[in-house]
Amino acid sequence: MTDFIVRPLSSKWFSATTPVNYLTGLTGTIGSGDNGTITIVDNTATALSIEVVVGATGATAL
Amino acid sequence: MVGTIGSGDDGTITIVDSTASALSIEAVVAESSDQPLSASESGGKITVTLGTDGSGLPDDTKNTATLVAAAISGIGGATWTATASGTGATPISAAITETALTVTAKDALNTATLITAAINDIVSKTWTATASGTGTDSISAAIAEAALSTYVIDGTPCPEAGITLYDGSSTYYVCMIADNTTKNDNWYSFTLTAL
Repeated sequence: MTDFIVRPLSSKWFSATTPVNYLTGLTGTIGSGDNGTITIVDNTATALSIEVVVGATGATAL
Repeated sequence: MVGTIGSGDDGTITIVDSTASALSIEAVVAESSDQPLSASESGGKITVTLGTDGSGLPDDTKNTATLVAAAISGIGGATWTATASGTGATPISAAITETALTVTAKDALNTATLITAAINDIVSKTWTATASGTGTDSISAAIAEAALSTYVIDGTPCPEAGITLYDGSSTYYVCMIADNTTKNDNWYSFTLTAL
């Protein structure tokens, strides 16, 4: 059984504000600008890509 | 959809249609002399019939870009609009073979917010998409395929299981398994609530 040792966060030994877990994944963006950048994050896939094409005919839904 | 006929700063006519799925345009010369400019549409093809002079040749005064654009826009039941560039004074002076309007992205339908929602709606997705800011800006053109790149966030090392850090408010951070490396992913948190 684990013994829990409670300490104040101010006694932390790391630089981050709070503890964080190791995390790896894939990320990419499309679009641009403060109000138009889309960020895609995937923490499970090992390969992923994204592209944008224009609908092949007129009046095509997104 | 969008397409152009004519050319030059004062002679390019741009046709825009937001509803048609297929549309083309051509210009032909009226088959007899002294004919007025006219335009019609049939089967998704806009036909501009250029006005002629007394010799049966295209009459530049009858076929300026401004007049041609007005004739195209004036076709009954038109779902398109035509606009002449500049002064519109340059004429269409010869027949133009049929040209299909090309599909373009419509900005209002392709805002970052809407695209983000579409990406997140993909069934069985393992990813999350997020739009920046208000998400109101649009993607208005195709983007070539690009691979997502790898990112790494270092974990906080934990020398001993059971270490619990208290932030002074109500949140506690607990290291459940000792892993004193940056690959540590054994941190958990909980928040105190009143009984």
